[in-house]
Amino acid sequence: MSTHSAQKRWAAIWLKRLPADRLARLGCAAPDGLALYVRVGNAHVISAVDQKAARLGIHPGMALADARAQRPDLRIEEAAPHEDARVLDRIAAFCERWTPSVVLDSPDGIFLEIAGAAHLFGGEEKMRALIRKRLGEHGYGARVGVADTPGAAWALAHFSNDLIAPAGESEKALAPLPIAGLRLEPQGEALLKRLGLSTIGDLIARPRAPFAARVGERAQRLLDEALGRAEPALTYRRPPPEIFATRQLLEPLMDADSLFIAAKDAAADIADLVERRGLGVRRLGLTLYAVSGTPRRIVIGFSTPERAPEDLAKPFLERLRGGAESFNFEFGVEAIRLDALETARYDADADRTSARLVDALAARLGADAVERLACADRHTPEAAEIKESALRPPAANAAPARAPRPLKLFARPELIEAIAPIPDGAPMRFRWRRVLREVAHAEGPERIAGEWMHKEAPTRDYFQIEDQTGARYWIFREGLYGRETNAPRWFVHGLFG
Amino acid sequence: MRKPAHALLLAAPAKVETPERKGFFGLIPPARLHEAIPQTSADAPRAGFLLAALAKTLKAPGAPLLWVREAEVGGEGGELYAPGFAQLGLSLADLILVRARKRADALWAAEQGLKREGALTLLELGARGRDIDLTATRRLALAAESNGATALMMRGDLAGASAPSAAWTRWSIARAPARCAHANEIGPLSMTASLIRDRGGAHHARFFLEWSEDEHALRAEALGGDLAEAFAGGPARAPRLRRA
Repeated sequence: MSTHSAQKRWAAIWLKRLPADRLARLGCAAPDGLALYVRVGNAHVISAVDQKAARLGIHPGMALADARAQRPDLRIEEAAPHEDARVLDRIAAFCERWTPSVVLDSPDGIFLEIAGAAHLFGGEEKMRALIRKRLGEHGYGARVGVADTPGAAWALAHFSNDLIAPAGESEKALAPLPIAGLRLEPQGEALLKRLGLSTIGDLIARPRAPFAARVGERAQRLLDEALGRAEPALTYRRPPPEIFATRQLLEPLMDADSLFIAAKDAAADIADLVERRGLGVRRLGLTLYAVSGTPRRIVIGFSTPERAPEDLAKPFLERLRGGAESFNFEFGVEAIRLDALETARYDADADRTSARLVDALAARLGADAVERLACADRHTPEAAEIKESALRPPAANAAPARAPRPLKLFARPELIEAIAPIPDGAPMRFRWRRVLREVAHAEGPERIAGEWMHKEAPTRDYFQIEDQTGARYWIFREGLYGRETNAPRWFVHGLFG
Repeated sequence: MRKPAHALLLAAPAKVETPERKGFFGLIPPARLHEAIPQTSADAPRAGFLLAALAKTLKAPGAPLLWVREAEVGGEGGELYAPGFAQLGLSLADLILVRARKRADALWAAEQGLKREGALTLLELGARGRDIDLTATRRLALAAESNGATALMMRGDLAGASAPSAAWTRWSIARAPARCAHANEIGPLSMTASLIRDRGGAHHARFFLEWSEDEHALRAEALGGDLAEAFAGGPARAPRLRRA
């Protein structure tokens, strides 16, 4: 559950050997280790290694030829930064099961904001352990640091043995770490070293002004961010919702009914949060995090804002049941998250009978498949009705035209061949959908001019037509004979029944 | 409201009810599933119109009217048009329109609409698609009867006329030329409705139906047979909704 207080806590995940781990997952492990290389000018240089290769003395920055000479059995692959980036994003998506506030830190890091989430796991230490364990199960080695700021957590993950800095103790935790923990550019770092500053603590102790002048604003900024004196610019992988609730499931669930119970439980949290704000939920997203595989998301809408836990959860049951096969959760779902994607003022007295029918229909068939109709005060027949998703608030309804209107209207008027004995009169017979129809009776014309904003639209003369079999059509002639056109065209626009 | 004693006497069923005696509306009680089948494919729009016209009498005021249409129906016969619907005297505020891509979705949606007393569901099916079997109609009929809601279903396939069904009544609908059209006056929209199945006991009956624009109501007149003539032109009364 989110508390979103000002106090934030950050976990920095460092995927130390992301490129090698990615290849190992593809079955590229080798007895003498694995190394990846990049081309630098004409040379091939090692860019990443796995743990085995590292133990055997192969390290990034080494020339590929040297590595080969040292370890002839070393497996060599070309680096693929695009693939690494793709995998990093997938791991970040995986992390969203723990918290919605996930920030990508390319090329090999992820930040999670965990202030509101850690208690669900029994505290930060347990959550940290769980993250490492779960990523490890998927083949990714990770170091995870936790602190008040992303910068401090990053420094801990990369350089510290104590991986958690308690709230308010970032400065103390960072002080003994090397200046590299600030993530300065290499030149800046080299400069500081030449000045004899080796730890972050040395920097903190220096007077601010000269330090800023010498090393530049960038270093000052990084230090301030790590110490929480300045807000870092972060881009969330997906903007975290203001109101959400998560549930970590004790054991993976596969069946729709158990998942529904978990969703209902999480909905109780959402209900509390929206109630405190006097709101109801208009759109609710349920994300299912499978033990392996991509998360699935189901979004449902409420035509009238709801907030009772049962009402919030109910539409998901149908979707979970209907989608259970297609979701194909091989090993079950281990976590769920509910996001209040859209909220609105809650009206306790609103009549919800048909609203709930609409919601149930839209949850399974889609918001576009369920519509409400209204009449608009416009002359053009196409503009005289409003068709909108029934999840939207209903449109104001005008009185329908006085002249007869058909029950069914074609989305596009259908061109017909008509024979009219007099230019302005009704047709005598016409061919529609390849069948010749003899007109028995006609009523009209009703003249409908193009609306002023569409001056170019020709005038239409509408007729109600009954053919000899009793079928009823709404037909129009487009264009005034002799004034707008010499060859008016005829259309069937609708059927009366 | 208590009825006077003589009214109760008059209302007592003295003899076997004939379809003609029941009248058209008496044959279509609420809280049941009823079926309409177009006599030819060209009659499908008229059958759809009849469903809407019946909504006037079968729906409780303020209760939802769920109109479920298979996507195919809209392409063939046009989309439901709000001004035309409102001109039938029906409230657009009660209307919920569902466009179903699959037949299974259409049947499921129709069932949802039958979950409240007094509600009405119109189900307009196309000519193609999987056959509607006995189980499917049984579900709808059961939902209608147990919840006091009414379901009207149009089968678009003409073969449906002989398909097994749990519907209370089944009607064959054909368009008919207006009987009283004049020069530049087209006359009332007309059709014939033939009762081809009736669980209520009647076997066959035919009615001539006209839509009166002035009264916003269907006028029904029994056709065929000597007995029918005795009732020809008689007033058709809308049935009262059963209240649980």
